Amino acid sequence: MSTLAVALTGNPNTGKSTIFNELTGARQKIGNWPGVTVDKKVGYTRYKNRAISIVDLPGTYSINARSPEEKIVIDYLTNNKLDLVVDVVDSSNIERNLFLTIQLLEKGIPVLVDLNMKDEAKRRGIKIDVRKLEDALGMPVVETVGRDHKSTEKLLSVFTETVMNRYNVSEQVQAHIEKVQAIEQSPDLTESQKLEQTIEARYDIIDKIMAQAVSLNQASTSTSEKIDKYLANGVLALPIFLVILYAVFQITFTWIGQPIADVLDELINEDFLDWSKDAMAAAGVADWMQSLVADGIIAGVGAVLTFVPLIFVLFFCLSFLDGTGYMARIAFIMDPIMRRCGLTGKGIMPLMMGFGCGVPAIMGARALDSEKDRMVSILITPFLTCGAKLPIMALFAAMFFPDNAANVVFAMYIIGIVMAIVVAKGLGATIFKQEGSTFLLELPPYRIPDMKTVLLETWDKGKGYLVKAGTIIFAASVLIWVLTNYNFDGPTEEMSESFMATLGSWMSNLFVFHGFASWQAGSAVITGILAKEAVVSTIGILYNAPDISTEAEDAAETAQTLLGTDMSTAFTTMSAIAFMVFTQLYTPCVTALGTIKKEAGGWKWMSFSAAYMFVIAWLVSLLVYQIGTALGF
Amino acid sequence: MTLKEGKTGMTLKVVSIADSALKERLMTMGMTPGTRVKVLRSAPLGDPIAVRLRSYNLALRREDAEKIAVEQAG
Amino acid sequence: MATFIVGAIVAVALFFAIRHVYHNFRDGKEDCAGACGGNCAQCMSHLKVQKH
Repeated sequence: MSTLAVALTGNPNTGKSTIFNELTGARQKIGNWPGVTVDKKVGYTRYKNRAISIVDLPGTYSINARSPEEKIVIDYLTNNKLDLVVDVVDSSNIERNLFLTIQLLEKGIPVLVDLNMKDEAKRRGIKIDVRKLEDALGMPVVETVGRDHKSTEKLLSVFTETVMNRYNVSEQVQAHIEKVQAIEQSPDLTESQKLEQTIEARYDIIDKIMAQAVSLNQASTSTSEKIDKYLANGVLALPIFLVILYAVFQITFTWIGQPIADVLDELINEDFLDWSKDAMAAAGVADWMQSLVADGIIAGVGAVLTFVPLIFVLFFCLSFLDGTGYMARIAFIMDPIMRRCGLTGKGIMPLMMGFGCGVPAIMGARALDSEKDRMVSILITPFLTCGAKLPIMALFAAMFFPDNAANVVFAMYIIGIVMAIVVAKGLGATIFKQEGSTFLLELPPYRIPDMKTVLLETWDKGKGYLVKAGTIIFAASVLIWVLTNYNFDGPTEEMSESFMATLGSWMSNLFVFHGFASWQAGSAVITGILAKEAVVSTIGILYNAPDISTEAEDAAETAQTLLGTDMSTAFTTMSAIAFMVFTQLYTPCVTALGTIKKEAGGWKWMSFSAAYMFVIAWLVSLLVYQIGTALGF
Repeated sequence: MTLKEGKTGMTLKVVSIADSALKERLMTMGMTPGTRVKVLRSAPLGDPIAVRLRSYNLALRREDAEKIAVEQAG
Repeated sequence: MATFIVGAIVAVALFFAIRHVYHNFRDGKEDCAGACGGNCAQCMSHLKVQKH
């Protein structure tokens, strides 16, 4: 039997991803839709010996082809021969969800309606008569509870039994389709009148269907509303938001992430490093090759890998918050503040992603509608502490402020945010003086996130970091090793005479008044433009090198302590802070710059972004250092 | 009156939406003439506001709510 | 001999690493921490209201 081709469609917040993950488990492939940077997810499963492939289409409220996501959905559905299109509907929000269903039916796309979250609908006093709904639409209807395995089993069995061409839309839906076609062809109406009348006609038929198949009994206030009294309303909402944010950092840097990172650090940078050195020495590998592998590759890649637990814990927290529906509340309560900063409340969503990586955050800004919102958002996003800058902050904080690491890192995040706001205001007042934006946002009900979905999402997000460690960081480590061990005369014993030292000391001339004018710091600043993780790798390689570590009297000291000893001579408390501030704010990595070029349209904005961020970082870091030392720190 | 003037807890009925950039989007989200809208709350700083319509919650700014003409629902 | 083997392993790994970076560059793709792999629809759902 041939593979059954299924596509999942539905509104955002319907639990579509959960259904998809439940159906396919880890058997997923992520690719790109042609021409756009929206991820395409395809999953595979089997049911009673029938192979089934499932495409997870982006969640949309309608299919007017106004956004890349909507265009993907409509193009995919019209251009592919599918056995089944499943429209995932949130039962507790069926009325507005049916808008997409009706639109699909208008396009002649037969759908299997999946009434998801029936338990939630029941709790909220919404009763849906499945048979009557089937009659009202003329399409098959199934009920599911997203995370319940039994209901996805049921969904699979319906998949294999349902053949869509057996179904025809009901008479009333057929009448609606004819009405919409009549509106479309009416010569007396303007385009916008046609559009508005079509939308009204859709809600008319939805009202009819609702009356036929759904009974609403919403006397009691829902739990979500009760929670919103505190989280989205009143004096407590903003403090609670800050507490939640702070808790995320504590979980990442103190309670869970850092302890795991410490263990991993010991495993890689001590046990594995020693083992590989011994093994290579025993096998008679030449000294320079030993140095390349141990001091170059393992030190460079290892320095980055150590931070994997932090990244994953942070992403887990963000995915979890997203799953609860709290992210939308953050946009809601922050909108007035964001507006005052020259942004929109919705801009907080891509900006929050900026704490993971600037690249998707810059791409996410595409969804903001006004040109001003988009451009400002793109230009300020790189100020935020992305997952790759986090290791720099974590490393320096752990080294120079062991008792206050989480607080210092938190302060760096705040500096990034403050600079983003200042620049946003500045740009809004100078380059972008056009009119502001609009704000329209669904506040989905609070939900307990599905763990499987949160974990898969965390993995998806964190995976890129691992891939980078194995590719660009690996290559950069080799390059840095070559640069630090050679000069024009060939191999050099003294690292301070290497290519890297020349480059680094040239760069470090810029930082004479910043307190970190060492060639090592200068080198790290250069390599950091390749990828921010490379700052840590560079420091790892430069300070972990044998000609430096031999100074340590106690060979039993941990590599971590060695690193600390060497570095604490190179940095004072104040210059460490100045270095952190500088790396927090300076020129984005090449990947981010490439994305800015694509999204902002051209070299001009890209060079502008690279240059102005360097200048701002230089100035702020200078101020911090000079004021700090003047105050006697 | 307009939706902007709606007080928390009021249930109102949409009469019309003035032409604006947001009109089509508002309508797609279910804000069509005749729809009953309940004012839920405003954000801590007074703006935006949250309303309930068609069994879900939607947030919009006061300046946009001003463009939506409403009447008391019976 | 051992030097040669280790060197060969490093060279092959380096080849694949650079090829990956080059492919990303050529295809305009990025793998970075935080790419909302596959869940863009989910994590940006709130934004999309704007696009109608």
